Amino acid sequence: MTWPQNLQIAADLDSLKQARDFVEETTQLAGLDQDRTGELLLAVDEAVTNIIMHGCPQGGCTIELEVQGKPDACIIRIRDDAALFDPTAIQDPNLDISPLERDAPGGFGVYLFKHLVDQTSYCTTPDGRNELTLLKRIG
Amino acid sequence: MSSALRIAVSEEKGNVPVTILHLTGDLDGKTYQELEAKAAEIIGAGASNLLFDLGGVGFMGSAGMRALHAISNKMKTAGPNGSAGKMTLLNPTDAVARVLKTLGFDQHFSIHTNLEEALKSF
Repeated sequence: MTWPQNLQIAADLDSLKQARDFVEETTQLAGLDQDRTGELLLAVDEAVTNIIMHGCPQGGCTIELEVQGKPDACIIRIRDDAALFDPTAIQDPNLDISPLERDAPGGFGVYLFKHLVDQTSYCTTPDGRNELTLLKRIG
Repeated sequence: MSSALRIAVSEEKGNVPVTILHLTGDLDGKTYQELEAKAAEIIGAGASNLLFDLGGVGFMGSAGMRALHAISNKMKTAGPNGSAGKMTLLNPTDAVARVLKTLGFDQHFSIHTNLEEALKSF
């Protein structure tokens, strides 16, 4: 396996399964066990879903996934040309109260991806795109 | 390539009538509204005891949780004369359990791994 592995998808909900299949296949080859792969898969799905639903609801944007396998970690960079937005700056919801007592469902996507990986960071690329980096340690 | 969700519906007559929604496939940002719509249709037809069989769900994201949460809100007045109905989850796969646990919903939903026990819980 040569690293990094890349996939480019349209920012469309129809692309979610393709993104998940790509991440599952590449991260398992990078050495992540089944549990950690499941967590990373969920984290990436949440990040990509947020871009599609909130960053580019009108469509027409492109999302690039880059998976980098390292001896001790798997790093995923998600770049998109949707509206500039730093999801890592979003405050966590208060999970001390019963989630079912909330009137409005939802709002958990960012919380999930921040808590299912070991590191998250955000920057803008030199060509003006969002870049979200998720790091998941191996073992 | 798109994610797909199939929802089959059956009825069980135990102590009370229970409507079972058997979910197969992925419950994600693409499909969660299909579940909300199907549940709304069933509740609208008068069902007040819903059992969600999640044993065939290969992937669930927070959108799936959002759907279950929205259905739970609807169930608050789904019983006779506006009383509360009841919803229970059956056989969550690892992918489902991961979301439930990470978000703390596992403490607030009724969850079973055995159909008979799940039916008795209504």
